[in-house]
Amino acid sequence: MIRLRNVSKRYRSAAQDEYALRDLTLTIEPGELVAVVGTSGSGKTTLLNIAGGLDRDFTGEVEVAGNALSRLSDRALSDFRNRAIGFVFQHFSLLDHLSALENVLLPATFVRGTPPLPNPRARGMELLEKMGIGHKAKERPGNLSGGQKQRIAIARALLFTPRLLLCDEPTGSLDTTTGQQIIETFQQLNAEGYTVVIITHEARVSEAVRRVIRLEDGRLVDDGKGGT
Amino acid sequence: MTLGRLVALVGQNVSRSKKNFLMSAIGIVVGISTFVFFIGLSEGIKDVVLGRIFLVDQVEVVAKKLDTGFMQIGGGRVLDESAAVDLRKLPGVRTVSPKMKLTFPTRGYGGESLFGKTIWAEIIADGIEPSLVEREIDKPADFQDFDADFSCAAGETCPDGQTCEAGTCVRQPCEYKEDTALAICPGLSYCAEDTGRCEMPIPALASNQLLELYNGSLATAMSSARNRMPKLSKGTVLGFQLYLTLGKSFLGKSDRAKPLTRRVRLVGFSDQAISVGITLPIAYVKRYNDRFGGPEAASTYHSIILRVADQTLVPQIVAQVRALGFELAESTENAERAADIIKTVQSVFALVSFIIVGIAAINISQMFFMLIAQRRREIGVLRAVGASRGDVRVIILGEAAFIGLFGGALGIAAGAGAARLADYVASKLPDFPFKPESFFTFPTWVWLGALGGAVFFCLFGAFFPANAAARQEPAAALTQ
Repeated sequence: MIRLRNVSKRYRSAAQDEYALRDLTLTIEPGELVAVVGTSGSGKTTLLNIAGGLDRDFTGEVEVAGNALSRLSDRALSDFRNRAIGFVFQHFSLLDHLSALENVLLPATFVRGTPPLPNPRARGMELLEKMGIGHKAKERPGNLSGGQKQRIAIARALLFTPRLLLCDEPTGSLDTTTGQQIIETFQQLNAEGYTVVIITHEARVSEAVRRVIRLEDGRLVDDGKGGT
Repeated sequence: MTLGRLVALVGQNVSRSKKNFLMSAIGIVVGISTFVFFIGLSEGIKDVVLGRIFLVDQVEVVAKKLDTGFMQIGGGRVLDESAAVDLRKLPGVRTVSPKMKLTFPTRGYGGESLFGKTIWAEIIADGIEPSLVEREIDKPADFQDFDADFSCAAGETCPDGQTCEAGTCVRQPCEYKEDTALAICPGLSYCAEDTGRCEMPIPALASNQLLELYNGSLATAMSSARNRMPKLSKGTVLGFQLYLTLGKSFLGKSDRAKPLTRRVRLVGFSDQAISVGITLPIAYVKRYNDRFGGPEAASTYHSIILRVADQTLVPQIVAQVRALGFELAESTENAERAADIIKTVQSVFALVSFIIVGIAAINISQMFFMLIAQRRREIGVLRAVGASRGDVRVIILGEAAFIGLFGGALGIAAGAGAARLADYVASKLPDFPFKPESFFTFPTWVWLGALGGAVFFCLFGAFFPANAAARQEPAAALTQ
């Protein structure tokens, strides 16, 4: 699903260049449930941004679902993100002026070409029901709890059934119980066939996945089994 | 992104930043309302000045005068039929219509039905081709040479007072008596003392300016405490008749022939008519000039009107006219000057308006830079869920276009409202010559220009912020 070959990313500064990733090579197969762990500044989020096509300023080769991301135009890459990747962020990244359902339907706004769904609205409602917040469809995010917001974000990520979910600290803003429920949601989605990559620094997440990739100073230092 | 989705997204964004958008739209409203008001005003003034006072779709040619310093004497080429032929050949000239003035003393009297007393006046008159005004007056058939020979061979009807004899219209004989002269002949015709036959009144036109001048100034000036002169409308004076004494006036009389008395009937108003005086079909003027002034007076035109195919050709035609040895009538020179002045004033108004809108565009630009900074993370989210750089750019420009449409529409409404208010205030002022019903004219291009200008400046203001937003890398935007 994801192949990185000799990927490096450095931030240029006046004093000296700093590497966020150094010569990283790794492969994540379809259907995996992977946690990427490491200390702050170890390059976890950079890895997610590069694998998700959110950051194109790197060296090396990145291939996601058979697409070499550096060879795609901005438009083609945007289409790819729209249909093939679902993102879940720590701070939910919902638009406060939109209702829960409108947030879920946001990817449908940017569809080009043949629509992947005949009825996105019905699919959006179905996903909200599946996340257990169907009754909150018309609520604005400001009126919802952290857990409910993260479920909306997950529903949005799943709208076009992307097969790859990239999650950046999805439980970082949640209490222990809610965080656990979200982890279980990801396990369930993985069981349904989604490839799930979770950036985290929480041990409970590493224990809930089958594979843990550890980064330090932008280097892969460990690639082993998780707690399940 | 489909247009429907873009509109929905723009609507959502605008509704949550109402205050920012309203503040930005104020500059557009002020600029556009200024544009609409002043351009409407200058167009209105242009209509009056160039449409009623000086006509710009025609060139009036006169013979060149030699200016000696204390008097002007003729010295250039004579305006006769050969000159008319040469002028007709100029490229861009659609029609050529000569004008000829009465060259002998004439006076008029009458007006009891309008003014309550008989008024005597020195008469100035000229003659024009009826074809020059056939589209301008309601009944073109009323303005023709009734002294011409009419045929009735093919069943045509003869003018009033004439009968059909052997295919030709012949004036009926009548016995002239002063008290029955108007009643003895049929229809509009009257019994003329010198011919002893029924004659049709000479049709005449008056200028629109004359009526304006009378109502605006003369009526008041000629009124006394006991006798107020009435204000006149076109409807009340159409059909009005008076007597003309041809060949004799308060200033003198013709030596060549005995004076004649004829009736004149006002049949219409025209901008082609002489400003102060009456205008007759040119055939009458030629005949009477021949009778009272001689053959030269009957063959020399005082001016020739050139109707142009396109106003833009006027400067070229003017140059060619001068090359032929003629010059322009003062009215045409004035029209050129008036057109230049109005164009300049209009340009200044448009410039001021666009400076205001331009400043508003700078304000809009700053507002969008601020909004984009505030919405940086949101833009990152949109990019993450599939928005391309182009989508982000289109969303920002869509919001700017909305401000332009909204501010432009409000500006148009404010400008048009101010114009109506100004017209209302002006309607309370005393009448003056050429006072129009409305001081404003709004051609379609003013509305389109106002709305288009508002949208253009808003898009221009938002262009750089939109590009800056589109250039943001999604990963960098999401880290905010």
